[in-house]
This record gives sequence, C-alpha cells and structure tokens, in this order.
Amino acid sequence: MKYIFLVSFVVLSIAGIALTLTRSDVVGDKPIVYWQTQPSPEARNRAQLFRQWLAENGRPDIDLRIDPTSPNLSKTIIQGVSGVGGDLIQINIGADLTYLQEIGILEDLTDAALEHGFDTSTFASRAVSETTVNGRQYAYPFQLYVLLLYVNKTTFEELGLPLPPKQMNFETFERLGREFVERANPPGQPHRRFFAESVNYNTMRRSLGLDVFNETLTACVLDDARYERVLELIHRWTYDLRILPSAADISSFAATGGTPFGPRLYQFKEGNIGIIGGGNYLMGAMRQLGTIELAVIHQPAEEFPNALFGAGMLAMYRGSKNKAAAYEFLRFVASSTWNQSVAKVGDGIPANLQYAYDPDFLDPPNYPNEAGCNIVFVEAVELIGVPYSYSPFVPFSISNKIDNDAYQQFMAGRMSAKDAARRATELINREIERTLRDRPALREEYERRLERQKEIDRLRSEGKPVPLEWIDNPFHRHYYQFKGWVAP
Amino acid sequence: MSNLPLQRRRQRRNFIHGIGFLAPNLLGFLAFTLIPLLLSLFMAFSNWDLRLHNIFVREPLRFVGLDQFRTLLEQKDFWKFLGNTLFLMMGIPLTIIGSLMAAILLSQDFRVASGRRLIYLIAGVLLIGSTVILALAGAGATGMVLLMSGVVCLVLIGGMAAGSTVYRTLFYVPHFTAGVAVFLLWKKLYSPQGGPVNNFLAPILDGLAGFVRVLPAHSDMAMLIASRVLMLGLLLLGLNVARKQWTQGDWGTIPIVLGLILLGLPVWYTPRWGAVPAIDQFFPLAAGVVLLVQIVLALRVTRMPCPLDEGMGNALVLSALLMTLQFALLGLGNVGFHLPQMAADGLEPPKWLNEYHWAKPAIMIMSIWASIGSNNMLLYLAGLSNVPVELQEAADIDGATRFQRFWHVTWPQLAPVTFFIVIMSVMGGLQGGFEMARAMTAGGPAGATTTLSYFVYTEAFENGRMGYASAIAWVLFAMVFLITLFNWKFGSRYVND
Repeated sequence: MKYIFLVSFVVLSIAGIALTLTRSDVVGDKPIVYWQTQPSPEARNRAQLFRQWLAENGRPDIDLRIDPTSPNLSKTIIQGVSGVGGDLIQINIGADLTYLQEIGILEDLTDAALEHGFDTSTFASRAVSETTVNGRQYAYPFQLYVLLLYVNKTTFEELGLPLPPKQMNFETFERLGREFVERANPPGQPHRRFFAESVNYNTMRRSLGLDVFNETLTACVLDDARYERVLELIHRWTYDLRILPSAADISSFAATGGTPFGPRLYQFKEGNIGIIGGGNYLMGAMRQLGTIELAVIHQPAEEFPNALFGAGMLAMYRGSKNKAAAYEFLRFVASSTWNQSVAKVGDGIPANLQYAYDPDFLDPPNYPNEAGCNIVFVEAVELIGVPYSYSPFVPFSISNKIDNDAYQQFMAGRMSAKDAARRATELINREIERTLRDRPALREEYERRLERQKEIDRLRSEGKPVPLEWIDNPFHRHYYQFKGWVAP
Repeated sequence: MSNLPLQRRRQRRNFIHGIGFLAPNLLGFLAFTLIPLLLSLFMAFSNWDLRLHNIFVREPLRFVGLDQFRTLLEQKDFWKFLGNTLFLMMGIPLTIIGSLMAAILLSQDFRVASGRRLIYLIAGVLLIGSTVILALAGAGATGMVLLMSGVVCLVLIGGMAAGSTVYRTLFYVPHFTAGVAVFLLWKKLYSPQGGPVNNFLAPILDGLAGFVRVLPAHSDMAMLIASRVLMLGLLLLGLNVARKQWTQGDWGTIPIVLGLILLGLPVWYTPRWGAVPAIDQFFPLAAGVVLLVQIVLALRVTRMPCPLDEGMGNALVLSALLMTLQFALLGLGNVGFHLPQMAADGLEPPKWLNEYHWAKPAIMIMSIWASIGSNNMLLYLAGLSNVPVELQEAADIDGATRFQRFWHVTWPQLAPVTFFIVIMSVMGGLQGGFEMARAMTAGGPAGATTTLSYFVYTEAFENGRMGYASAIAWVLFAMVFLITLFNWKFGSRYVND
C-alpha cells in the first residue's frame, strides 16, 4: 500500500510541476494581461482593437485576456486582497474606486496619466472626482454615463399622446402618467402597461436640494420632509395610480422574454413600458431588438435639474505581475483610437468630450431612430450630471444598502415614509460613529470637517455665501453654484 | 534485549510511514481548517477591516475585546436575520414528516409481476408522445399541461415496471441537482404573473373568492376564533401529553420546561401578530387557564420518580411539531379573517419572492421540497429496513391496526434515526440559506430572506469587516456547538428510551 501511495504521490507531483511549467504565461513568448470586465461582444472587440493598435504603433504584442466579472465588487475584493487580482480592473462608480484604493489594491496612475496625456485636465471635468482620491489619479475613465429616461415614441404615438417634454416636474410626470395608463389599459382591469419603468429617488430628492450627506460628508441628513415627500410620491405612483410597475410586476416581466439587459428592454420595445431609465449604453442593446424610435428626456425633477453621473473606469491592480504590459493597455485607453471606438459603437460617452461631438456619434448614420438622443446625454454630462456622494467615514456599500433597505421597507409597507427617512439617517450616522471608533486615525479629519460644517450652517442660516472649497459633497458643490450661494 | 533497538527502529519507521500517509490530509486540515479557524477567532477579537489590514495595507491591528460581539448583539439587523434563520427552520418538522412518509412509501414494492413488456411499450409511447406534444404545442399553457400529464403517467408506469428504485431515484433528484439551477428554476416557478405556481393557484383562488363572497356575515370572525380554538386545542393536547408523561415518570422536569417554552412561543406571539388585537390579547389568558388546569391535575397525582432530563427527545420533537402547527394556524386564522375583505376585489395569488411577508414562506416551501427526498429519506429507508419483522408480526398477532403498528413499533424503532436527522437538520438550518439568498433574492425584499450565513458573507466580502464577520461566524458556531452538546448529552439516552 505504501508503495502505491508513494508512486501516486510522485506521479501527481510530477504532473503538477509539468502543468505549472507548461502554463501559457510561463512558456508563452508574449506577456499576458488579464482585464477584469463584464464579458460582452464590445469588450472582445476592444481586445481585438488593442492588438491592432499595438501592431499599427509598432509595439510588442500583448495577449489581453478577459477575466469575467460582475458589477458586484466582491469578486474583485476577494481576488485583490488574496494577491490574485486581474491586472486591469473595471470600476463603474467612484465610490468603488475609493474603497479599492482604501484597501490598497490600486496602483497610483497619476504619473502614467501625465505621460499618456490623459490626466485630469484632459477628460470631462465632472469625472475628475470619480477617478481621483486625495488628488491622486487611480483610474482612467474609458467612458462616461449619465442616467436619463428613454421614451418609446411609437408607443406614445399609437396611444395618441404627445411625447413627454424634456424636463418634467413631479406634477407633470404624474399627470402624463395617469393619461398614459388610462389610455393604455382596458378600464377596470389591472394595469399591465405602465408609463415608466422606474424613477430615481436619489435624483428626485436632489432636485429638492436634499442629498444623503451634508456638505462636509460628516452626517446623513435624510431625515427630512423633502425625502418623505419623494417616498410618498413614488408609493402613490406605484400602488395607487399604478403608473409605475411594482417590484412584483417587474419580476413578472422576467418570465416574458429577455435581452442582455434583461427583459425590461423587451417590454419597452413592445410598448408595455412607455419610458425606461438608463445611460446611452442601453442603445447598443436596444439595437439588437430592432428599430425603436427613441427620444431622451430627464428624470422628473423640481427646482434643481440633475442626473446621476458616473464613469466607467480602468484601474491597475497593485499586485499585477505584468505592469509594463498593463500600462500599454492604459495608453490605448487614453488614445484617440479608443475614444473614437466608444463614439462609433455608442456604448458610452467618450471620456474625452471632444470625441463626443463627433456628428457620427450624435446622429449615428445607420440608426436614424436614435437621432437627437446622444446630444441630450452629452449636454447632461456637461450641465446636470452629479456623481453619487460618498463619505470617507462610511463605506458606500453600507450607506447605500441602508438607504436602499429603508426605501424597500417603506415600499413593502413595513414602515411609514417618516420612519424610513429617520431609520436611514440613524443607521448611517451610527455607521459613521462606528467607523470613527474602529479607525481612530480618521477622527482628526472628521473633527476638522465638523467645525467647517458648523461654520457653513452658520453662514447659511444668516443667508451668506459659502466658499466652494469648504464643500466636500459633489452634490452640494453643484447645488450651491446653482443657487448662487458660493462666495466669490 | 538485543532485539530492542531493532524493534524501536521498526516502530519509528512505522510511525514515519504512518505520518507520511496522513501528511496530505493533515496538511490540508491545517491549511484549510485549523489555521483559518484560529485566525478567524483572533479576527473576531480585533478591529480587522480590509481597509486596515490586508496584503497591501498593514496598519496595526487593535485588540478590541468583546466589542464586535457587543456591536453585534446591539444591532437590530442581527436579531432580524437570526429571526429569518429560525423562521426558515420551522420547516424542519414538516421536512422530517415528509421524508418519513416518502421512505415508508418507497419501502413498498410497486412492481407488477407480469406484462412487463407491455408496460415498457406504454412507457416508451408516452415518452415519445410527450416529446411530440411539446414540439407541436410548444411550451404554452396547453402544451405544458399535456406534457405534465404525460410525464406523470410515465412516472407511474415506470414505477410499475422497474419498481421502487425509479421512485427512490426521482425523489433523490433534488438532492443531487446543482443548487443554483434549482433556485433559478424555482424563481421562474414563483414568477408572480405567468409563473406555473400562480397559474395553478389563480383559478383556485377565483373559486375561493366566489365561495367567500357568499359566506354569511361575521364568517371572518368565526374563522379567526376557530383558528384560535384549534390553537388552544393543540396546546391542550401538548400539555396533556406532557402531564401524563411527567406523572408517569417518562419525562423529566427539564424536557417539560423546554417543551413548555416551545409551546408557549405561539402564545407569546399571538397578541403581537394576531389580526384582531381585541380578541388576540385574551389568547394568553385562555392559554394560562389551560396550563393552570393541567398543573392542578398534575399535582393531584403522585409522580413516578425519574431523572431530570428523561425523555428529552420525545418532548422536543412533539413540542416543535405542535409549535409549528400552532404558528401555521395563527397565520391561517389571520388570513381567514382578512379573506372576505380581500375576496371582495378578487383574490390574487401571492407575489412570492417580491413580497416581504411571502418571501420567507416561499423559500421555506422550496427547502421542504428539496429536503424531503434528501439524505433524510435515505436514512429513514435504511432505518425502516432494520425494524425487526418479528416485532411487526407480534403486533399483528396482537390485533394491532396499521397505524398502531406504526406508532408503537416502527416509530420507536426509528428513534435513533429521527434524533440524528433532527440534530443535523437544525445544524444545517442554522448555517443555511446563503445560496438561496444569493441566487434568488439577494437577501431581500427589505432583508426578509437574509440569513445569518448571508449576513457573514456581506459583512466580510462586501463591507470588508473581517473582524465583525468573524464574530458573527463564531456566534453561529456557538449556537451549533450548543446543539451538538445537546446531542452528546441526550442523543444516546433518547435512542435507548
């Protein structure tokens, strides 16, 4: 028995060593770079384009491989802190970038960006806060997005309704929604066709001047009548007027056909949903369904028109074993070839906005049904896009989950709007206290900001302007400028 | 004397060989079990957060004593998620009953003696017919109904031809089917509109709505009161059995107290969860009267002496079962009360995974389905084959009915298996729920399906709080450990009883 065991052990050991030595990255003649991204035809096409670009520029060949990942960050975190992260990491919001930088797995790209001509002065100014932490650049924005609403023009025409205007306040949205569902659904029957798939409560409360955090990001301030108003409106639109589908209605859509972006696009095309939300990246998926006559409008908003803005970004893993090759891909992302490819494919807005005004991007010749849509997205990026706000004193994953949970509890009828707003505020503020307890090093910065917040509150209560550099929250920076509250 | 060094050398050589054989296993155990276990224990008492400490960040860790545990116990979410976990575990008694019934059914031989060729022929025709129907009618409602009817016939005939092996295999299918595939399948089944479950329920609920609408006034209240009376009846049954067993010296004081706690839980929750507070607040009072009567009756007779922990297993199994039934009646009574009002606008099937109150029962139903034909059924099948035939024959000769033979012969003989299944199910239940939450609901809606194991995952790998996640894992371990201790303490005695 012991000899059988010994022989098995030796054979397995030899096989293991042989396997290791014959791995393609060991015996291959070109470096391998792993790109953590959501697998899609576009990603594969860009990998192909990268190789062409290398050849055209006389650079050595690189084997770029896609490491499939989901928008959920957990895989990136687990691999990153285990020392086996992909060389290049795709990130979709600045909050995730900040978190990955805090856990130390991102390479500082400030110098490389300067060398590649893709530093913060070269791309859209609103993307700067998304790609930097404490003034250092940790990612290259490879495309931008802003969340607006798509209108299926055919659906409205068939119902004999005018198209919704580009901007709507809450009252107009409700009035048009009621007209839509009355025309679209047989009387006395449960609604199966809805005015809009959803509205963004974040954008809605921001339009009333309210954000999750205060100006210095030191406290959650959601316990506010403005948020209660937004919650009650969405509840009314969903369950009383039925102009928005409930979670159960949306779940039912899942049983009736799908696209890479889920069954929602199919329902939109079929006219069961008049309006859906998303960035311009959705147009690529919609093209697969055939021709949909599209218009783009803003989310319903009151006083302060705004839209959630973000950037698709590429960061480098600090533990990468092929940094030189990974830098080559970043150089490619900074190139005109990449930006032109984004403009041509139309799956995002080029990070360098000069490419976003390419006529072929604004009015794609092969897709006349999309004419006039991209310009609304580009203008929104320049004028009303505001990124998510995230505090250094509470991870975004936690504050966002608490905010979302309270919203769900309210929508499920588990608590009143007032209780939901209060609960979200209490729990997020408790998490801030907990962070300060767990990480005493942050206390000093927190106290400093707290003092500044008191000063801001005092100035505002006296109706005086506030220096813009005092404000850390990106929403409040835009809001204060909009209101003319910024000290010259 | 001269052989001693040789003997020692041989012993040493044997020892080295033995260690060599064990080394892969030992190294694996050390690397993947013991060291991570000790590390997580250390983490639970530290402020280990990925932002402070990982292979790239090396800020000094701080010993925080019991802070993580204190935070955990103060956090409302922990209690909510523990409640979710325990709620899902209430399906365990039903699972056990289901597994036992399946095992009893499958221990029979369904094979017919003759005409096998004809049966094979019919089965083959049905299989081909079903495929043709699917191809012609598509996967629409009619096609699915025809197909399902064909498959049912095929299964029945297959059983006649090949015996119970076919059914044993079919019942075991959920256990060896990949979990995520099953979860996705159930997600489709539960789809609120167009899902097969609701398609099946819709006409039944329509019929029920019509029936409820013609019910006389106050029938809502009658249904509520009937459910509460039945709950009291179950309580009375439990207390009556407990009293008799206690006075006869078959159950000790500890199992009586634990059983009373379990039976008391529905009593405690009725005023809180009941549909009509004005009535439900009197339920504990009525239950108290029942309890008082039983206590008086118990104290009037002389009790046979027995150890304090005698009869633990029987007491807990019975109490858990009665508790589950009481909770079920509580829910049914509430539904019955609201039924006329709901039926006025027509009854709609539940939204299952999308509704806060239905998400947990939906998961529970799926778990019961998956667990009935699992290893529990195999254990019962093995247990049934070990029941001595002489005992059955003796009971038969004594004129025992089928049920009496089961209750007085088979069931006691299955005690070791039952106890093992209960313990393993409870341990599995406490640790379970992660895959379902991850694949089906992401822990929602509003945290309704977040269990403790999913909570550990989100805290560790979404929020990066390794210390806190370890603390949760150790609290979970403590619960499982207590149950294991319980098993050691009472398992063998229950079996011998």
